Amino acid sequence: MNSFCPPASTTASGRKGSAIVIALGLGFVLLIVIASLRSFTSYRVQNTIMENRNLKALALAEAGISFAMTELSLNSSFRTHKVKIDSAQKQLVWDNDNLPEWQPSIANDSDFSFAQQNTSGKGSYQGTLGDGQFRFRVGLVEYEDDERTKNIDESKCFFKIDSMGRVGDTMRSISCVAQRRFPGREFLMFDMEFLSIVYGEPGQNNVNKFSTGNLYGHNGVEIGQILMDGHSPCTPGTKQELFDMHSIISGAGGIFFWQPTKVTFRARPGMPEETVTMPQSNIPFPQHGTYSSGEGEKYGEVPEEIRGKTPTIPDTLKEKLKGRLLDKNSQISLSPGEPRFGDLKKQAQNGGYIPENDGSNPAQAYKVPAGWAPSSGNSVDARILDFGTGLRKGNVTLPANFNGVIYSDTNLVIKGNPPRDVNIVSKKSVFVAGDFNQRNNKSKKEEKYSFPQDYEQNALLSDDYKENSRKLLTDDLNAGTNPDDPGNYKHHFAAKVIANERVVYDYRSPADCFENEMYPVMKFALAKEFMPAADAETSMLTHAGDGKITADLSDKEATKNKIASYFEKFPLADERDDVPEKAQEQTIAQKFADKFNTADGVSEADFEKFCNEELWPAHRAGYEAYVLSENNGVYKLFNKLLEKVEGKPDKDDDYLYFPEMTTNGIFQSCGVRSNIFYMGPDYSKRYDEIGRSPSCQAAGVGRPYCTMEQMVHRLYGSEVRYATNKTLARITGPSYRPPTRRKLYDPTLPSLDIGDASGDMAAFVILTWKDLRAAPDEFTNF
Amino acid sequence: MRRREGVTLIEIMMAVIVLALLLTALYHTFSSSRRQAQAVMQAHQTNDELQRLFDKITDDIRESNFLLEGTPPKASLAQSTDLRTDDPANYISFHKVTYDFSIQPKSLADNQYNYTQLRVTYKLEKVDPDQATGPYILWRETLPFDDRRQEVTAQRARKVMMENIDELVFFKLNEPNLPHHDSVCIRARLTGRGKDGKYDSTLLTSIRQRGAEPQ
Repeated sequence: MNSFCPPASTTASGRKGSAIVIALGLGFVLLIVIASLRSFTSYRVQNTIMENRNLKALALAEAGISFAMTELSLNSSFRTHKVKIDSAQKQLVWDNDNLPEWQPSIANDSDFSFAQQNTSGKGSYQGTLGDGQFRFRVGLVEYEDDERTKNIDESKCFFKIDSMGRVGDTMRSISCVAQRRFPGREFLMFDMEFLSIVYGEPGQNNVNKFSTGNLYGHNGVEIGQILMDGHSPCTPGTKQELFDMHSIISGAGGIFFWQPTKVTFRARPGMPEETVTMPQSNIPFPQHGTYSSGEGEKYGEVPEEIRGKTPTIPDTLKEKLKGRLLDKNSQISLSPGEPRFGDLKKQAQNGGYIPENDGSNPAQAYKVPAGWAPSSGNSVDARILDFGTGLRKGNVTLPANFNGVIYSDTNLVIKGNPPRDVNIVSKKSVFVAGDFNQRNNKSKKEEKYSFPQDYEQNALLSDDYKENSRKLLTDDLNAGTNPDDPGNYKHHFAAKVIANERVVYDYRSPADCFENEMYPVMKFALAKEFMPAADAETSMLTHAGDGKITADLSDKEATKNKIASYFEKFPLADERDDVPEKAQEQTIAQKFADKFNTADGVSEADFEKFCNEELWPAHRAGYEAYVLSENNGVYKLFNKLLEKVEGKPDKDDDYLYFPEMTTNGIFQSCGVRSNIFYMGPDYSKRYDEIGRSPSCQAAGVGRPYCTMEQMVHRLYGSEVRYATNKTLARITGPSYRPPTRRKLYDPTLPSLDIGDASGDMAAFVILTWKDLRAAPDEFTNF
Repeated sequence: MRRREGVTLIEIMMAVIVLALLLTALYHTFSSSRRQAQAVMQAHQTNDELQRLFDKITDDIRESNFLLEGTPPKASLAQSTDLRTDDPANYISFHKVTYDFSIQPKSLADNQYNYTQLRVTYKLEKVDPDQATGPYILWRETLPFDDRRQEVTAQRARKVMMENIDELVFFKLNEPNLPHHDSVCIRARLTGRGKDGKYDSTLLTSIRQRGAEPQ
């Protein structure tokens, strides 16, 4: 029984000691486990927090760099500090003692609390983002311009930018040097889509030439001879050649040569001039390749076979092309944004010129081929800005204190020579409808009618003007304050043309495109009615000629008959007799006979006055009324000009020039590509051009008056396509026949009118970049 | 009946046994937790080492101006897992450019530039060349170029960045539609060797260099 009775020793008091021991033991063990776990988790949490703060601080520092570059791209004079060059240490240091004297231009923003940090007197800008802060400094590196580089003004393009980011007690710092690049000033052609240098027609032997400076295609560059039509093979046609190139750059793609192409690269420090025949890229263009849709193929979509690809450079050319052919692997990706039309409009409202406010310049119906006008019409509303030339007066009267900005919400048609530096801005399209911005110094005999467009061989064979003519343009940098000073005459100005839609080269009118070439021929043709042809040619077409009509004009009827004979060949209207212009021809003849009724002939001054004020204006008016008539006098004069110059070597002692539409300036557009734009070496491409096509004739725009080997379009300056206007309606239908092209970089661009760059968008390239850790004190004292 | 005091031997033994069992169980539990914690700490340390290495390489690449053509090899995301550490093409080489603005253009000779360059190459070598596989040593090799763009071979240098790496591959993603297209990717696996065993850590990162090739 005892075994079933609880023993006295099982009382609570008897067991107290072992329970405490067990509890203490358990507690001890648990304490160790908990402490260990806490220590471990705390380490991980702290580590994660630190890593997170570190990344945030770095992102904030990068935000500071981005802010600085954005402001610099909008405001070329933006600086927070001066930068000193420490020659001993070979480094750039901040000049904290001499802050620039200017007002901050960045407005306070409630999201970023952005303001100049005045309180500490350090001059840095600061901002907040989320739970962090950043501060940055910007200063121009006072480097000298390198005269050997034609397309960069080194004294205005390098910036030291330092930025610090702070989250709690974690700091990160970035120090970099950035190069500001102005696409319009630095690049011959700059395209934010795929830069396509494939111009021309099948079956043609002409060569387009592209000269000097840089080419840039954001998504790639293609260069090639016409070999296809709608992505099917065709008779090979127009070729492209590049010379005096500095570099060819692709931001995010490759550089494709669709067939062997001659390229000359200019000499650079340590690099001799190199002429190479670029072999066909090892990634060929596919016939009917892979596109997202049939529409994509027509709309300029890059086929999958070449998208994002980078052709390799043959080993034999690698050394020669080092630093010259820069595909996406070079990391030179430029994104300049888009023009600020709002700011430009404000500038025009305050001292500029707004055509809409000029009662004498109403909008007109400007004829365009099918597919160009909205609602299937054949015209668009446009205002004509004719700045005039040495041979005609224009219709633009700029205000007395003109600030250089012309802005219109409508389409603009521009031609002639602006009298000063100018930004021409349209919220729609700008039609460049004739020679633009190349003046002649009338005080010089060789420039009597126009700028001397002289070539070594001729306009179709030579790369560029002769040295003497080129010098007239580069000397413009040294022109004085009076651009009309005959002794220091300025032949062209810093002209920027900016269109929110398209910049359209308009070849419709020989009277506007080739006025300076046809005008001397007109004088010759009229003089020839009174003089032997050889004498008339010497008198009217050579520099040595006296410009006189040496003939007995005392018989008025005979004089009138000779004038009538001229109009038979070159009618104001056309071959018809029952048109009002016939009476005008008789009036002109009567005036001439009355005025010069003498046996002494006509002096140079009198004949020039008559031609300039009576005959040529009558021809221009007759052309406008009879653009579709093949026998209109202007077309006849154009043919006479061709008869004189076609296939012949150029001479520099005469006034005979090959038909050349000359357009000088920085031409910037925002529109996307037109309807038909087959990538590759393909003829089926529509660039933004109008004129000389059957569709133009059908629409009443003008006649297809010459072939592509009978005219040259010389663009001297640069072309930029921002491709930001994605909503723009695409152009349908053909609208032009291509000319032979000369796209030549203007080496005066980097230095002409650099002060206020409101019409220039800038992009940045990082030259050096340093990631650094920083202490809290450094942020406070920054 | 006489009152019994104290406990029997059996009771004491049972108590001791129970306590021993309990303490043994607790010890095992504690010991296991400690080992696990040590393992995690070791893995974390391994991870930290790898992260620090990545930070160094990341800063280096971000500060670079251009990658040498063909480095690192291109691969799709799927192919990248097949890349081998001991592949001779598995290296990355880039240039860092240092400008000297104290030399004005006029004082530059015809073949002189206002910058010098440093070619940096990261490459791997087996710790034991006789072994078929790793572990590997990661080297950072540098070769300066003077302001004539000529190699200064006398100043060529190399240093060990990390030893005992099991796997490290450099590659560029060959997929245009991915956001990190053209950035340099690095995938590395490091094995930490503690007294209680091996601890793996694998990291994959993507870096984009900030600078551009000098023109």
